[in-house]
Amino acid sequence: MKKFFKFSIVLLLSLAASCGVKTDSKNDEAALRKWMEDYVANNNRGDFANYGSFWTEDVIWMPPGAQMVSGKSSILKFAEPFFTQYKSDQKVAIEEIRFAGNLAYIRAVFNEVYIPNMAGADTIWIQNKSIFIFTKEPGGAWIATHCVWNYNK
Amino acid sequence: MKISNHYQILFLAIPLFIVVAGCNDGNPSRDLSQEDISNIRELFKQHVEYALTGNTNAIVDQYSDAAIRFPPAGEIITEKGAILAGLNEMGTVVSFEHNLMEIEGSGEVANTWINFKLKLLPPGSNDTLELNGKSLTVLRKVENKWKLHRVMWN
Repeated sequence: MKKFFKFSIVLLLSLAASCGVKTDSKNDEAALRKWMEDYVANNNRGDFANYGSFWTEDVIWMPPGAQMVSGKSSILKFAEPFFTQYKSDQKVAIEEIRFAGNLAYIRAVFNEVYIPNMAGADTIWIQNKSIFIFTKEPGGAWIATHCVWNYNK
Repeated sequence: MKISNHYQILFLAIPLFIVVAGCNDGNPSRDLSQEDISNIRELFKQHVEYALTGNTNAIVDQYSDAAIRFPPAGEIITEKGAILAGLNEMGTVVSFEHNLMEIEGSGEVANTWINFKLKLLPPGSNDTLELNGKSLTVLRKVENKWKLHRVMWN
């Protein structure tokens, strides 16, 4: 009986301690910077199969000149041509990272070059400013929930 | 003390339910209180009213001191003076449909996304300009008031 009580109390205390908002500013900032580093490396590698792992299932994108795109399968459909038809060279400058509890945002400027795989197509140069919103998953990892961007010119 | 297996299960199950139910599941919207959500809705309601009445000073007051606007096809706008000048250059707002689609937040930070239809009469023009767009706004709670902090639209 004593064992049962001990087990119950330890289990409940562990659950209570593991839930709620965990904020560790140093580690959170490092994790968000790593997310962005991995994201750009993924894109420059052309790894479309892994692209979905950066986004939540109910992600929302707000691309310029297009309707809002909602849901992971929709953003993958939107992004696929950039992986299959181009080799990308992206560089990112993070201008701001802020977080509160399990919400964070990154403001960044991207310089992107898309070199077409097919002959005759034009290379695309883009400079855009972006805001990414993140949520912290129960395990502590950050994952992007929203992205909006527009161009400087 | 002898407790039956049923009571043992209940002893564990009830507090377990309370802990799990009270546990944050990672959905940021659940961190905001109803009061926060109402205040954010009210902020945008006033924003539309100020826009329709041309009260650009009141709009600028809705921004945080460190606010940044991110217009499409342009450089970022920082500082309230520049934000005011930018708003005044837009001209007269003839109509403004504003649909607040989502509010999420945690602690002192929240974000919203909005669909909007804006009809403007640019300064010195007789022709209205219609803009259909969407915006993502990051808000910060400053001295217990929600303020527009980062606003990007396209």
